[in-house]
Amino acid sequence: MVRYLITRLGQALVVVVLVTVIAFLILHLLPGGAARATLGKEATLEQLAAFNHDMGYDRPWIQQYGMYVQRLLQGDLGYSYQLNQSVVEAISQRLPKTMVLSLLSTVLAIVLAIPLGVIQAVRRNRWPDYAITSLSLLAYATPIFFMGLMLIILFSQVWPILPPEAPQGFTVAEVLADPAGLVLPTITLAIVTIAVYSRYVRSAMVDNLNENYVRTARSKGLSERRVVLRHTLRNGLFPVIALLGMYLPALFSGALVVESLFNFPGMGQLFWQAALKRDFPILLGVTVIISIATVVGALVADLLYAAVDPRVRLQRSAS
Amino acid sequence: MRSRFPRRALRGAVAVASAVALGAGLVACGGGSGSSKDGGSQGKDTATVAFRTPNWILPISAPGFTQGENAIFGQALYRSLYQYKLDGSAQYNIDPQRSMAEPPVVSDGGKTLTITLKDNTWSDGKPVTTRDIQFWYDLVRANKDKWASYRAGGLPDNIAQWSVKDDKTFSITTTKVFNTAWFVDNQLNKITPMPQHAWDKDSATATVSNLASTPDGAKKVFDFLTAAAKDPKTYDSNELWKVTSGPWKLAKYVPNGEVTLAAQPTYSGVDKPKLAKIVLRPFTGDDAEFNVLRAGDIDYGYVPAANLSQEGYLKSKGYTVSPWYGWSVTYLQLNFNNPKTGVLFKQPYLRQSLQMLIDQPTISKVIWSGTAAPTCGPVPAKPGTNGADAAGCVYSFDPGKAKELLESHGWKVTPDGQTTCQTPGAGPNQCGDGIAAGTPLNLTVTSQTGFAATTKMFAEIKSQMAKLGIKLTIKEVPDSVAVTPACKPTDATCSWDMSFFGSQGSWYYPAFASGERLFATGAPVNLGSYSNPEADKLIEATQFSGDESALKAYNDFLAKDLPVLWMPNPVFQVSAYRSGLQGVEPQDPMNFMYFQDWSWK
Repeated sequence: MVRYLITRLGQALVVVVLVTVIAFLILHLLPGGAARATLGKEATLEQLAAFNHDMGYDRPWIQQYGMYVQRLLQGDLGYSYQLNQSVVEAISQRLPKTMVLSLLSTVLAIVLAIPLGVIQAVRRNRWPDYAITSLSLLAYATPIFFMGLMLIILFSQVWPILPPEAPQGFTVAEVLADPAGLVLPTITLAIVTIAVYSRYVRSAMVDNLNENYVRTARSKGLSERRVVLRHTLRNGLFPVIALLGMYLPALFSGALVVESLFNFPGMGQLFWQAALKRDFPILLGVTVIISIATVVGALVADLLYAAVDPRVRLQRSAS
Repeated sequence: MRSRFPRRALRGAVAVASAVALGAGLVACGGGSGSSKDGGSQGKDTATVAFRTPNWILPISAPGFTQGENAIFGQALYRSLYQYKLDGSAQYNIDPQRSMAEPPVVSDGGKTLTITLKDNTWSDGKPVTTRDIQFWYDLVRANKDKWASYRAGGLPDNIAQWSVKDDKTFSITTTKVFNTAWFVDNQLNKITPMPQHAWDKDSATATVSNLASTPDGAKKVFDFLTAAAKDPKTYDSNELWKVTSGPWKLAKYVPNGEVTLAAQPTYSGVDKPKLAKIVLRPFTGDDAEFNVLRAGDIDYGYVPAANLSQEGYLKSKGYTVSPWYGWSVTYLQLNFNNPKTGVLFKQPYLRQSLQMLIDQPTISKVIWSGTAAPTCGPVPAKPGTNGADAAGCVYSFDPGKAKELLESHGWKVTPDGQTTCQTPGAGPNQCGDGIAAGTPLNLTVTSQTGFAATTKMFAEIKSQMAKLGIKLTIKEVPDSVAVTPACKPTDATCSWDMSFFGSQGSWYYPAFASGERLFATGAPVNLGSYSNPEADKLIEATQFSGDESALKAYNDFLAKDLPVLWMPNPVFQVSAYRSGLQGVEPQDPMNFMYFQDWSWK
């Protein structure tokens, strides 16, 4: 297991390095450059040149990349002129808030999706299954911005019981101190996830309910409740575990549309604004963070899989 | 097959789902109503404003930090020497109420301006004196390469002598005679008194001295102040920024978040704040801002162009919807240095033809829903009087005449096909110097994404051009300025033909609308590299001639010569504010906001 872990960590490191190289190249090949985007149309040629010199943009890209990696290893992700603050500071201000929103929506989605998936599986091809499937498909097919907008109009304007924007607090504590503001963005973000997860749970449960081990358990006289919740559900959760691992990057990057719609100053918004303004240091910093989260997420998914399914460990030991 | 899943288990699952939903509902109820804590008009002493978070506090602008929100924020805390208004009521457009000094007395044949300060104090009670103006001058003179407003030949290069006579009076002698209106409006507008008694040091722990009076010392002081300005998270705690001269003080500052301004009790100006607090709330985008506006959670916001149809709804919710006209012009930049199409743009008849294919009145009325008005030349129409007709424009929409012009200059016009040069040459009835036979009229416009009206506008122009066989390709990018730089024909970046960055107006002027930064040869914002000796002469006259008709002469020439194609000029924004909020109007055409004038009915 340790060897497996080391191998996977090595692979992860290579992936992160490759991502930074590719992101660095793509960003620096974009026409226009950062100087004009940052300093605006009024900037003189001298000011543009000074900016490029200060940021190192007047050097060959390989040299720039070397300098970037050197700074990266010291925990310095650079400085954003657009925000007038360091990239680390900008990310550290937003990341916890995005994680709060993502975690809340994920927990809500899981807590609702698992029972819904189970209900669909055990009542498959009957009205509860049809009803939940229809609602899931509707939720899945509805664009998230439209869903959010409908919720805002419904609960902030027609029936004004919830604020139309997320909490504007600077710290996580301030954000959590305004729970009403979190309701609509959390629900909007959770709805699509519920639809996806419940379909996966349903599918896995249906497959498992037809397995021989379920028939054996039933024939041994176990109660149906025990068969479903103790035996089948455990196997039925495997796809959810894999999905959760892959969800980790989203936890870090945030949901762009929801953050934008509800004025939530999180990571998704940070990245979007940086893309519009060609804020290269921010773009690179966020890309690095998300690429790390992606490989860590895949790793966590694998490890969780191994933890809940002994067969996975056995196969790996054998190999 | 009938499931054997017991109903009790099913009920359990449903109960879990219901509990979560109920929990969410309880959280909602616990939060109370949809009103935000600071929003709305609760207490009638606060106004909440949709406003991007300012990120520069030092009253000397720095490259990269010249956005409008920084200017408004800066003015709230640090008053400029002169404030301006464009209603034609005062000499040199100086606003006598808000300005910190009396209008300058001109002598020495126009070379010397003597300025007397009014009685004003800093927030700590110390008087504002000429020492504070001198402090500003010392800092910019020693650090002009780091000052965003510096232009070679402008302040401080154009000052031959700076003399302080006493605590209240100083004089400026210029290197040559300038047009006083230009100098007062476009040079003296940069001066902001700064508290020498609190800032003249090179570290937080140092004692205040006369350090900035030497160039080396001024560099150290400037570096210290700049470093503090680059630390936004300390804006509301740093002692430096607590000494202000403006009507507001900074009560709370959240980097990239809300900013709260509180009325400055010791403010010495006559325009004292009527409200206790102004909350500046940033939004992640137009949609988020408009949702909050619709819900009534802010007192002053804006209506995105895509939502103008909801004006009636906002009015029914108690908002006043009002266009904010800017002291601006909008144009389509032509790249005269493009190695392929530059030769086309250099032909005046061709520029005229293209201009005649832009139906400014109709585009303004239909596509911009009346929130734009034709631009006819480089000097804007008087703010607030923007009509939707192009009566004053030299070239009105006239496709027939455009076709005639092309044909009379050797082009074979093929409607809905491809128009090509048939008669090359530099003669009067030929295509023009450098245009080969068979050259097609194919042009590309690099425009802005994210503005529905802009997209529709170019679709309309493309359609008009196609009728004369001119193929217009529209390329939308997030930042059209960044990808259309001023260039030499040999540069790889010089492949752009036409550039548009005017969805909220291309250029906003200071009080005097001269074109030395836009249309003079080599000017910093002359992205298309337009160059005309006659234009240069007229632009120079606006700066150096005492003749009041210089500005008109300059406008008339460039309106006709078309250094760019004039386009419908959109309003800065369509504002929406609670009808009970007074003092918002008239909205300043130079894009300042004077929160101190605001009050609740």
